[in-house]
Amino acid sequence: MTRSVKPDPWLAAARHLAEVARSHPGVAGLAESGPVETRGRGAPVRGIALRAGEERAVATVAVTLHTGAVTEAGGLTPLVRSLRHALLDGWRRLDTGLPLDLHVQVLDLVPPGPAPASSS
Amino acid sequence: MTLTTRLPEGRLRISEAVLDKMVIAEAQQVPGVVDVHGWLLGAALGSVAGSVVGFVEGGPIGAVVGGTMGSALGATAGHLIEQHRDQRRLFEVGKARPSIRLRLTGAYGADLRAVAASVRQRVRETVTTLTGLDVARVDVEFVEIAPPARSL
Repeated sequence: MTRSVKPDPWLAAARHLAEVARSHPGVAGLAESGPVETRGRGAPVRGIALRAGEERAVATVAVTLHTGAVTEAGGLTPLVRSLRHALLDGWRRLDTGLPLDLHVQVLDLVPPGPAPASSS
Repeated sequence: MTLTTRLPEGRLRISEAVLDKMVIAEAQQVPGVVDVHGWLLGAALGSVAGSVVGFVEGGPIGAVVGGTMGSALGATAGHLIEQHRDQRRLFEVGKARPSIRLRLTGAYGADLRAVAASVRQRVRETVTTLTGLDVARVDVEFVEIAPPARSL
């Protein structure tokens, strides 16, 4: 007999946002350790802390960026703005009906190369 | 739902590891700077402008402190760096105003005051342009001088 486990919507949403962040140009990876993570029923999603706020969702995304991408974008701010738009679009696609407060942490800059393995 | 169409921008926080790389890369490119030994960094918050919350040792080569005494001091600095790296202090754009204190080896014969001014300007401009953080101050200490030809 198999026991069905109800999927955790917050974990699923965090996983979706993590994928959006990882696939965004200039993002080398998400935080693999530290306090920024989403916990729930299942494996935690690292690099994104997604939680319920007051009539809204609150997400903190901790990323490492490629040095070259920052230079090409003319700084961290435009690159982060573009990432923020992508994440908000990703959130809208989830159709949760909740607005999202989105905070971004830039943890490090790394030279271009293979993206670090991330666990989520 | 379109509730997310008019959201505030949200916070942007930048790790000291990011500033670390920018500051060292910029300081090393200033003529008259032979080496960057390390740097101290603090955050003056907007609400309490001018007050320094704290300083930590930083920089990937911050452990290389001093010559003969370097091993003992370097080990301590390295330990501090690792400790603080784990803590990953973050500076919030629009609120935190980092203060940067650099320890440099200057080129023998160079006008160190002019070198310090160039370092200040370059570091401040780069950090402000690339991160949006408002740098409160850049202090420069020359802890050693060496022939300009010396490359590290």
